[in-house]
Amino acid sequence: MKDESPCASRLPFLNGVYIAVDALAGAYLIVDGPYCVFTKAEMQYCHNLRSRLLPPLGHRRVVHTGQVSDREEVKSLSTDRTALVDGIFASVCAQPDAGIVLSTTFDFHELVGFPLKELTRRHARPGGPLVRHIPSRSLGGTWLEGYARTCAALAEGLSLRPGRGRKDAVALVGYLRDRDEPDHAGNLRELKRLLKALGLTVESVWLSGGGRAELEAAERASLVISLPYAREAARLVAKRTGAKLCEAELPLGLSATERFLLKVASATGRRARAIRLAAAESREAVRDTQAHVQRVVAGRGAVILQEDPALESALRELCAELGLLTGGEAPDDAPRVCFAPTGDAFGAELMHVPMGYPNYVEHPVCERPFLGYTGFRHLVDRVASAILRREASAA
Amino acid sequence: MFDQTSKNDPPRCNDSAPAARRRLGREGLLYFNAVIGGPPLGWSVENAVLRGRAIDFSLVRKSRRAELHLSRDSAGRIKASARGDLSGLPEEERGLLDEVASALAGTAFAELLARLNRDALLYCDADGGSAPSRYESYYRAVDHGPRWWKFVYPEARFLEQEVSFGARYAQISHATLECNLNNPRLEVASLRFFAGDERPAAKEGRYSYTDTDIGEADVVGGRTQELLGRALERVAREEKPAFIHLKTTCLPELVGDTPLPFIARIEREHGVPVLWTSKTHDSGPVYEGMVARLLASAPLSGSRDPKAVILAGLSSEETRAEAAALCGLLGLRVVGEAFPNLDFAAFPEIGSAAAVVWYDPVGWAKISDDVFLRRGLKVVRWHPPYGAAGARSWLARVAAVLGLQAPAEAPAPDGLAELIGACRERTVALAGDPADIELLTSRGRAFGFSVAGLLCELGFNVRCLVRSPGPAPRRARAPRGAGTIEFEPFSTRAALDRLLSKGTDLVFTHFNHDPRLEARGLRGFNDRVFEPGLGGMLRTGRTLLARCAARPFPRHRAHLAASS
Repeated sequence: MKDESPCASRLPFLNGVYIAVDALAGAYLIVDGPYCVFTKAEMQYCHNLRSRLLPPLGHRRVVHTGQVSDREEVKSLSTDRTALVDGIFASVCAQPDAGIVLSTTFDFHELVGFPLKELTRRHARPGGPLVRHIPSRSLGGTWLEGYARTCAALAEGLSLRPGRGRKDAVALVGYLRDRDEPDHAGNLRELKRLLKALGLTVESVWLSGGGRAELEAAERASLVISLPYAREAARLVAKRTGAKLCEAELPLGLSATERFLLKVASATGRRARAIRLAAAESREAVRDTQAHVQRVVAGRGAVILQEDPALESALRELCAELGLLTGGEAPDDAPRVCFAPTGDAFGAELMHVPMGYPNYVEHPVCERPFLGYTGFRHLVDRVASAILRREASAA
Repeated sequence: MFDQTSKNDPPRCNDSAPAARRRLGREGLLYFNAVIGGPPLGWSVENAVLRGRAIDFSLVRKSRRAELHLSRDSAGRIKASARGDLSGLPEEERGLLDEVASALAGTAFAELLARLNRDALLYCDADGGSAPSRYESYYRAVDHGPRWWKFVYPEARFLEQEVSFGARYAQISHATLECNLNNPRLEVASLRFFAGDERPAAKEGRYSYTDTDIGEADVVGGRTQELLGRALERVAREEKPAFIHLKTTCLPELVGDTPLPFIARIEREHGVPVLWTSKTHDSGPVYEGMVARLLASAPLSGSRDPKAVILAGLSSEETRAEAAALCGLLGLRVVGEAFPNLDFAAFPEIGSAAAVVWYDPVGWAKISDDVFLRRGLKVVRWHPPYGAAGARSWLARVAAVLGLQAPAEAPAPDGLAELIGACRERTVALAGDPADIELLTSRGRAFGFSVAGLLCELGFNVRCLVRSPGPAPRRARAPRGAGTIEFEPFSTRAALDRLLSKGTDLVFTHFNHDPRLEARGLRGFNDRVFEPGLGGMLRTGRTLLARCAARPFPRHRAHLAASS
């Protein structure tokens, strides 16, 4: 039976691939599949007000191969589609702004043994766009695998020359940039600010909305900071460039941000500096938020409904920091703060604080990060607002 | 290009648009059967269709089928021919043609056509000259840059999916997760790509939903058919619904899953009917079968009241009330409803109905009216009653088919004159290539009504911006209905932008967020705004006026970003 809770759906593989392609300037994705490939991209269109996947008047970034005159896609699979798909590749690769052309497969197309990988390889030519195949797990994989596999395909295919790393330069690989909106702009500004405070310059972020040049700038980093959403890609980038690899966790909340800074600092010999920085930043953040936390937030119950393990773990720790009760200690009959995406439902009556993918109901105009110390302030602000609105409306 | 000879009619295009398909009504069928001398022994007439000035029909005996075509010869007599090659058919079937031709020898084609058209059923569907659907014109193409002038992407509506059986029923989707999650599940209409795309409205009755969520292991292990059987069995046994609607999708059909053995068992053992629609098969006959089954259990027998009707194609409470009021003008009383509500048991007097009257049949073309005709009911299926002119035409048609006296005029709703006065202050643009403008100015092919005609009836000034590759004449503003209409050509995107930049309050577009309009701070509207009936006309006018008034950034439009 369909579950109507705010986090009912497990998002499948292609959703993650779409998120990645939307976070790459000049990227196109060819999906061997039916026209639902288009309608599926609408989820990203609704999540990201600046999505580039489906321009109403331009060339679609997500291209399906089921462009057959016979409407029925299943029956069309019994025909030889090689020339049709080859033509689609040629047309997409010829787009003037095509810097990256990726390919993958919709679930039932996985079963028919179509030579998509071979066709993809045929269109990879010197001087042309980067053309890579993403091995599909559309039938069984999750959206997080889709995102990670896309990043890994890029790490294998892009030009990343060894020995070019600069001192104090880092690359962030595995950032889940699910939309081109000010929450992520704020996150990246915050991460760069904190790393700069440690004396480090961010040369490249995977993925950040930039194109091929932004990704290939990772070769100038002497340290690859691996974030949770593309570990394999981070390992590949470090291996190919000869950079040092530092696997960090998601810096969400005071404690996780502090651990993030200390981990990076340890990898670059800046531990004492990081300790001072974290202490100063934490002090300011607590002072800014203590009235909200103590008067409004602490003592409430909270529920975390996420299918992203990194985010779930970070939110659990955040709840502890804010005095939100997530286990059985929370009173049963009191409403709880709910940290969940809004893919299936939005519970205005629930103190729902949308977190995770997708978020259809919030599209900030001003920067509103959720990572680092600035992100911590915004999270407190959102949680307190949700609680007070609920209280006021229930009165 | 446009016929503007009649002052009161909506503008019409003279281009030869494909003719709407008409099927035979009850009287037409009786007459046709009689005029061909009754079908040849053992054969029956099926799928008799009027296509402009020709008649197609089939003679069917068990699995054998002869496709015949009637047209007019130079002397005005009926010419019978076979559709397709008869040479491969048995001699008996070739003889059918001679038999039919001989029976029709004494009948004039014009007379036959006129008799059949008297109660013919109007269909606007894929076989009947409908416009290319959004699937064909938008989804299948990947590059829309070269067609920068397109605003019109009509959606083929398949309303049969919205039927409600009124009782508690269950839906099962036999699909993968990737397939199930193929559009936003949350109701976020303001964010959607196409305007009006939204989750289907909750159906009447209690409803449950089950996904089989086929996974990799199920496919590799060959267990998809088993999953389907288990889901059907569980829902039938535990939920005991009035019906199960089973939908099978691409992957299970590719691997050859078939629910037929399960359906037979569930219907036999649990007594739960299963409506099975499939990705690879036409769903029309499935729905027809279910409607026939429901009708069979409805008390449609005994004495019929010629003034009692079943109304079909009602989209809301307002349309329900307005349709009943229009029927009242003809002295008809509504004793039942069909489509989307098929809970016939809720209408105790339904057995007295003599006819089914469609209020708005657009979108319901997949389900044929044969199910009603076979039960001896007359059927009225005509252009829906949009606007005063549409209501007049609808009333006249219902009266003609049911043998009633049509009222002189439906009463104008309160506030209409004031509304028209306000609409006269506003200008609405319809833009596109000549085919798009033809769709928007003619009745029937896409929407069941003329967008331009209704706008003029409401008093709006309508600007038709017609894409023309070369120089083309401008047609000055002329009165039409209570408003005006004019035609202005454009050939480049910059020229279109210039036309949109001044003198327009609202523009027709199917996009929810059209960059060409947003660059000028204009708002859009589309056919979904229009409602049938006179009350619907009033609501439509008010909605359009509100959109005209809601143009943002009145003093700062120069700062808007250019469209990309």
